[in-house]
Amino acid sequence: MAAIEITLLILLLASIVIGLLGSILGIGGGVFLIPIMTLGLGIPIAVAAATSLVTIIVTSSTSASKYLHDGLVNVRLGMFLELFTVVGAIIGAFLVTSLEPSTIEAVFAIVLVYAAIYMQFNTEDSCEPRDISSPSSLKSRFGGSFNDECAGKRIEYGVRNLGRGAGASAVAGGLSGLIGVGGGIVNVPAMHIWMGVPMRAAAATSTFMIGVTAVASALVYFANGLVAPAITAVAAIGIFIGASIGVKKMTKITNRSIKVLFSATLLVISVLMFLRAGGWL
Amino acid sequence: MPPEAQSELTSKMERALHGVLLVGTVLSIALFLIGTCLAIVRSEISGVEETISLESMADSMASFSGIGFIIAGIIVLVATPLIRIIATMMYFGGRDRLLSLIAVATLAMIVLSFLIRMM
Repeated sequence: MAAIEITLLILLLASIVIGLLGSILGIGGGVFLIPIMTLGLGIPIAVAAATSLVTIIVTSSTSASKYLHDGLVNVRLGMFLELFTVVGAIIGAFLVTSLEPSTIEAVFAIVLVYAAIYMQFNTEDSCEPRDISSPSSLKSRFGGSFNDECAGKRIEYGVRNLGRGAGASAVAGGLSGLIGVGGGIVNVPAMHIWMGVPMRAAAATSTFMIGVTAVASALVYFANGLVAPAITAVAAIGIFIGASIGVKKMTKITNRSIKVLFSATLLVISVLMFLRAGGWL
Repeated sequence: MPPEAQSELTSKMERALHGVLLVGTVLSIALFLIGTCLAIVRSEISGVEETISLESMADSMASFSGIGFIIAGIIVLVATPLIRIIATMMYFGGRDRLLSLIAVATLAMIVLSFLIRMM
């Protein structure tokens, strides 16, 4: 098998695993995929970001399709926040051609550290969600409800701090446009902690949103001629397979040791990205 | 609108959006599979990181090359969330003016940013 085929096979296998993780965590998987492409396969970060954005659309569409069917997505809230992620994404994507690759790699490394910390605190280890909606927010326009199979009851929730959530969404979109991630690592905690959305609904709504966020950035990358068709297609196929498996569970990774392992992996990758940004790798 | 009717409408919308996303994704993945197989068999890939310009995309698709099928798949995939926005605009239509306007603004910004970059 030629080197090209071997490279594509490695990318395919890695993408399957990333698609699985992304659909469960409510993120697009770019934080895992981009380091694999840049550090492992030597692909320039701008091209890797463009590829990542396409795969994020796959994760989003595959997973959100299932979550919509299950009634988990808060469509109204998602559409509202999308407006701000798109603004951020467009700004980020326009900046990417103006910045040095080492600067983008350094930003990405910082985001990886954040993602490593986020993975430790983003999950609920019991079925019963915390009561995080204040009574006054229950009748807000963007409130929602869903049948929580784990808890065995219907959960109703309201939404608060829309302004803060909108600001976080703009930051998420900016990251998407700049480094090719979906923004879920910002969207999910912002919705859950600041806006009072239960974790499962926050993850599902984030998954619903990141597809549009990725499109906003991706089109700018495409106009700049940064699409690599071969790796884009293979990564997308792998992500689709992984996400299709992941949505059937929609349970969080509750095993503490697995979460620690993934966080440690992200931290190691962030160190390597810092070294690469500094020209030492 | 009574809560029961609102809930029924929301369920219909969710089912429609589910369909849009599912069909768009499956179609694009099918195009990716066809394109990748053709590209490998015909040795169209000289380097995995090889990029393609917007101008070359049209030529690739017109020649029905493996790369052309992949490009078609990317176009379908990118169009899927945009069609989703249009579908939500149609559902919210006269029922929720604010969300309709939000959807229009979101779509307009995405299209404008692409056109600006093209120029």
